Amino acid sequence: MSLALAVGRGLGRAASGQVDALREVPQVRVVLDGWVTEVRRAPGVEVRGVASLSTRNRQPARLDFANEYLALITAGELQASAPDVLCVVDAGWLPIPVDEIRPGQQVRVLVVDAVEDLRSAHVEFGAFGLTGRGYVEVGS
Amino acid sequence: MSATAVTLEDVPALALGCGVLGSGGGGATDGPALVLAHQLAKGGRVDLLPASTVVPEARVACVGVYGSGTLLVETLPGPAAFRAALGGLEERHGSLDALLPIEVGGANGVLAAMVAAAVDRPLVDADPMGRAFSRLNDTVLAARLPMREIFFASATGATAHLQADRGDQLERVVQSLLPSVGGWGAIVAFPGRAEDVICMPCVGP
Repeated sequence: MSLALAVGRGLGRAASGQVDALREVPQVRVVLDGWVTEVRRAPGVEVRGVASLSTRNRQPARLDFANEYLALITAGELQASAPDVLCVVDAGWLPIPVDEIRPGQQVRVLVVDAVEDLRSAHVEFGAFGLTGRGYVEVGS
Repeated sequence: MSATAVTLEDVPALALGCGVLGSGGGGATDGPALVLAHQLAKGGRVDLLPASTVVPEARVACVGVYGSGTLLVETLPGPAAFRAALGGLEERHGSLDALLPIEVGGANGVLAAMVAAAVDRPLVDADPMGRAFSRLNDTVLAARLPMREIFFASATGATAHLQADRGDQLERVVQSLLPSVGGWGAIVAFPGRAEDVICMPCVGP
């Protein structure tokens, strides 16, 4: 709850022009700044949609989602994935739910690290719907 | 460390932060924020307790809403359904000393604060779910403490006490209730002593 309050205060200040305020919330990292170029949805399967993005320096990126955002791949490299919390915010730093992401939106992708238990073997969440790949810690 | 009050001025930040931690799911937070603001404006208070300050023998349980985020917008979740679910639990297990949100990400973080204000109980600063999930048995807490019962109440006044040997069975049963009660219900789960329910890996930053 206190993390939610800290994140909300940081984003609120960022929305009012103090983008540096987010540095005071070390749990949040901005990992992409760009636009949504295409969204494809496939209801009825585990990973239900893919958003294509373009970064500000024109690198292609892809965001997989189900009921939540699951994985961000930038220029072919896995940049972030569940169980870490991926969030997409709009130009006003407001969260965009998976059912409202659409082409043309200016977006930032934020990542909040998951608690350690979600990474550990005794929690049998499998691959969070990311079939065939499993959970790979970013950077490993 | 002592309790921190969540005030009316904190509601927009809490709603925004819970929205971020919802990871694109977990239900919209703006409707629940209106209900929380209403509770605080009429004198309710939310005392946020650091998990480390909760005495081990304190009686706690997790509160939240289960069901469709879309339908949650159509019928705003007021405190009545949560009071009914809590009443069922307390009748069976005794009075609770504090509440936990069943999940912080999305609508549930804001709603847990609303319930705490409505029933005048402190709220533990913890996230038993770890991140927004679609299933109750997929929580950090469920990996440590079996989920065997749920106290359920709908906005339409229906209540149920559900029990099962396994969390996934319980998850399917509670899911089966939703079409007949308007798509969502208030739930209270994981009743127990603080030392069992508040697992340290789920206590946030």
